[in-house]
Amino acid sequence: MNKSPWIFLGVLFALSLSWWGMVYGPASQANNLSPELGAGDPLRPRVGLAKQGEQVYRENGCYYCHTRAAIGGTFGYEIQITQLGDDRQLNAEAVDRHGKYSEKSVFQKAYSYKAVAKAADALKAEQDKKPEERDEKKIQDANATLISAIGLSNDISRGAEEAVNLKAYGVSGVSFEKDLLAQLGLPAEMNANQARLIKEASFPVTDGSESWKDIEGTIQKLKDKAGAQYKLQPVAKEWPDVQKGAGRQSVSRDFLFDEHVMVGVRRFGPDLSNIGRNILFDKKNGEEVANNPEEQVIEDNNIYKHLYDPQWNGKSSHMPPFRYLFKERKLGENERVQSGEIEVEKEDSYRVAITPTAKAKALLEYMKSLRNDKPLQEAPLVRRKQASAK
Amino acid sequence: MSENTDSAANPAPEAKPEAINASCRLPVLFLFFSAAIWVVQASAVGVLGSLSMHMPGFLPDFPYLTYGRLEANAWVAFLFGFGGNAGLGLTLWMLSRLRGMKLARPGFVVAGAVLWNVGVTAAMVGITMGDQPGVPGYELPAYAGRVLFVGHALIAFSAVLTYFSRRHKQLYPSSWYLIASLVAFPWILGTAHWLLVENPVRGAAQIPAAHWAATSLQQVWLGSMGLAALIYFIPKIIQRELHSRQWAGFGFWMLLILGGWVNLNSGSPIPVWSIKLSQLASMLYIFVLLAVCWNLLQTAKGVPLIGSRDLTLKFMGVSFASWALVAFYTFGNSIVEWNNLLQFTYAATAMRHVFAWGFFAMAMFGAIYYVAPRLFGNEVDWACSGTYKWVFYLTGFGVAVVALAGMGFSYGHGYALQESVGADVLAKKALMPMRIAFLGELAFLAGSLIFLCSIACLLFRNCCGECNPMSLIRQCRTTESEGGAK
Amino acid sequence: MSEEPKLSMNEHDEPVSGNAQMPVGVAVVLALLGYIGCTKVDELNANFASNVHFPFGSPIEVASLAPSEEQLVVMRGKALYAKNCMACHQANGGGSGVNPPLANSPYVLENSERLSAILLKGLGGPIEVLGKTYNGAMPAWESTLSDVQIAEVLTYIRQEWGNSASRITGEEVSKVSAKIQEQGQSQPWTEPELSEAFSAE
Repeated sequence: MNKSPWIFLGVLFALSLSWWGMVYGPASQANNLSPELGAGDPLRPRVGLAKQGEQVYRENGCYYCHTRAAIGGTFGYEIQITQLGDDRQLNAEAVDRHGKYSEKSVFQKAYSYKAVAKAADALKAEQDKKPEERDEKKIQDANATLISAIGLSNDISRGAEEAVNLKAYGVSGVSFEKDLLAQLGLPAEMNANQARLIKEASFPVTDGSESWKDIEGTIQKLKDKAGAQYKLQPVAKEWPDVQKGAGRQSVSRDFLFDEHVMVGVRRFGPDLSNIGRNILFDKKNGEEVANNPEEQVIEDNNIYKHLYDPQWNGKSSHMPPFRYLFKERKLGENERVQSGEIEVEKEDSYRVAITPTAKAKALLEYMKSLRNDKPLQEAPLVRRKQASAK
Repeated sequence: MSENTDSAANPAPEAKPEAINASCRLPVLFLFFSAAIWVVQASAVGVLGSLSMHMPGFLPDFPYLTYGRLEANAWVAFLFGFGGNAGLGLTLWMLSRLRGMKLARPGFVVAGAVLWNVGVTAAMVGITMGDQPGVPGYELPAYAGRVLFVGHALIAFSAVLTYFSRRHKQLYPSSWYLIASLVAFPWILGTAHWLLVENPVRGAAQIPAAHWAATSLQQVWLGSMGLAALIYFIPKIIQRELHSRQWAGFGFWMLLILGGWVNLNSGSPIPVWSIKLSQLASMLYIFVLLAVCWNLLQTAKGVPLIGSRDLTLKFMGVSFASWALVAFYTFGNSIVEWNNLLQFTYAATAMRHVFAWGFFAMAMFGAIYYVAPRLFGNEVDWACSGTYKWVFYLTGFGVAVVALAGMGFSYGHGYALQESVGADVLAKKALMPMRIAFLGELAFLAGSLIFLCSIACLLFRNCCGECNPMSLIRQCRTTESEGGAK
Repeated sequence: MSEEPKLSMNEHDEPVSGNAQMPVGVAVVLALLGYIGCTKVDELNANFASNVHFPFGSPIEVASLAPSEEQLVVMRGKALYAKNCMACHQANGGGSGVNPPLANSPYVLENSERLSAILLKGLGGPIEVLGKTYNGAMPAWESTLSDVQIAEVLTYIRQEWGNSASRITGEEVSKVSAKIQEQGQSQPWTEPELSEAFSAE
């Protein structure tokens, strides 16, 4: 290592390794990310006030104390079978892996509902046709399915509940073929019953405690072999950010249109990845406050007051106040605020009327745009753990 | 030692140390003095920022003095103001001494240094007015980035000329590090400037890119200059040879390869592969830790560093210990649970302080204590050199406090973040380490003030006869023409 | 630490580096450590996929999380419904004022061709749904929505609010559109016209 020029080349090469891994690689991947969500509106860039707010957030260095990244935690999966596949044996095998949910009755019941509903559909379809076009083979098949379904159902549990369910559908007795065809003439009733039956046929397989490793085999079997449809729902176990209000973890696509990505490095204040939802939605009933202008104003004013005086109302925040984002005016006794002004009561019992400047308004709009309550293909919303009763 | 084949042909004569010192006098002292001013600025602004955190009612009516802007300013003042000036000054001096040649083209250095300081000032003003680019760890506005780039190029031009002016001598490991820092800086600055500020890359790719820029500036740029000083001064002062060239080379290449990868937060919203690679790099960072520690400990076997009588060696001892602590913390980040616990707490900031003040600033203070008076020749008059030890004690105390706060008291915040606790509890836990570290920041401020006074005292006592600007420029011209004549 | 450090001005020689070698054992241990680290990354890198984020671990897992095509159709339909239909027919499909309900409505659940026809051309005049007569005016959607989008909305309303009827595809809607074209219907349907063109079933 005494050859001078080689040191230069060596240094360039050594640096290029980490540059490739941390700059070039991620950048080329990010260029391929698509804003399409598969369903619903695609992701969109911020516009107008929210865009200006991004700059206010940046110039005041808010990202030194707040992160915009909800991080992952531990969770389990709930598998909800939404449609049973046709291969009964494989379905049963897949579901059987999960001891407590494979009780025969649940699964068999679901299966018999599905079979009945399906056969009834087939019968009805034939019945809809003109007599000369009917396919006798299909009618026979449907009947056979009904026989086996009821037979099976009776085999497994001849309980009263089962009988009631089947009766509600219109299947009873031995001469069901004739009865059924007769009774299928009542379309509305049939549809309601059918809907109920199919809904009951979708059932959870796991309770949200199994990890991916536990359910991987089941999923493969259900999807690739048994032809069933299912939905995976992550359920938080120890996932503090979700418990505190985030919808899910933040992922790359959340920052697709950010001009300067300010995820932040420290959390001296709360994480802001889902703050927009907190402002726009009522925390209690989950309804959009924006539908109710009066409440929206109250919510907005609370944020303004917090920015103006974080320790307002005895809050134990240690955020420095951003008073320069507001025009302030001391209120005399009995003086009332004018429209557009917000009244803040100071500790030593004098009152101030504040008017948010354009920057404060932009910042609020930016905060409203910070939401991760939209499910993405790579990150579905996480269901919160029920708060333990205290 | 055996590879000096290409140079035997016509080795340039080696210059005398006194002549080299004289050739460095003006440019290097200019850089050192600017560094001294910036380091006071950095610590003062840092203290002001922390104050606004501890006393939220403090200065709320000035947008220019809000925490986010002060925090950015403090780091810019330290990294580019102090780190750049002190590091580049030392780079020039060490390269000339290691090559045994006078500093080439000192005029370029002075011009570059002026530009550099203009750039840093512009950055500070820009951030204060609200121009920061939103990248913690690299806060230069676009215009300041351009100026710094040119300033650095001018200084590096002189350094590289000096480096190539003679080929027959064995390359001492410190010169590898110095060359690395000179090459790395434009690359890192260019990447950060172009891909994060001027023409930001798309979306989430900015997260690893910003991390790379901030970490590389710290670990590779500051790290190279600081380690060069450690590897140079420890063997030099205890008058032994560096234990092993091989170990040094291993540590050097590993630092360059891994420096930009390490320490990524495991919760960053980027694909898992980036995070896993970063964790691998953090794990492999133990190579750097082992190589550097083993080499220096073997070199200084039996010699007390921190307890030494020589003040420079004391500084180097603390600097070395701080570097090892930060390297160990980096290695610790490869353990997922540790990373999960400490991410988003004060720990990373505290470790940055330990790296900046404990490792880099201590190495620079020590080196400047050694270099600055020698630049004036043997007749130097430094009456207040006795106060310099307080720079050591105060900064050392500050580093100890900050390290303790970061590594000892951040866990509470980390655990609180992992549980679903309320905002008020969280706020208390988050503030706890910062309140302790505030003591350390005050010590930094006091230490850097004494450093500034000490350097100012040295400068004004010794160049009074010739301290009018015209004579300085004349002197610069003569050294330059002498350099050109060779 | 006992004695005062003194400023000494003597020059030291430039340092030189020694030639101690790295022990073979150490080199082997370090190489092993690096190897273990690399295998770990090999195992956990999730194929360097750009869509796998912590805490998920593999591309297969993420692919399993994504909704199936059937679910996507319903989700797209839901979004279209919210944008175009919700104002009149309400979020719960219950209808309002002159606008008939969709939940449980035979017009939604029965003959899918008739349903497509209503969306394509619109509907005006009195119509009886679930025992109540409504007299609204539904606009034609064929110029606003594509056939595929119409199919998605229809699939959504046929499977929401307890409704459970079969899926409608874009081709089916296109077929109906062509059929109406042949019949020469250009104005919104009225109830009698509709019953004439499409059987109740």
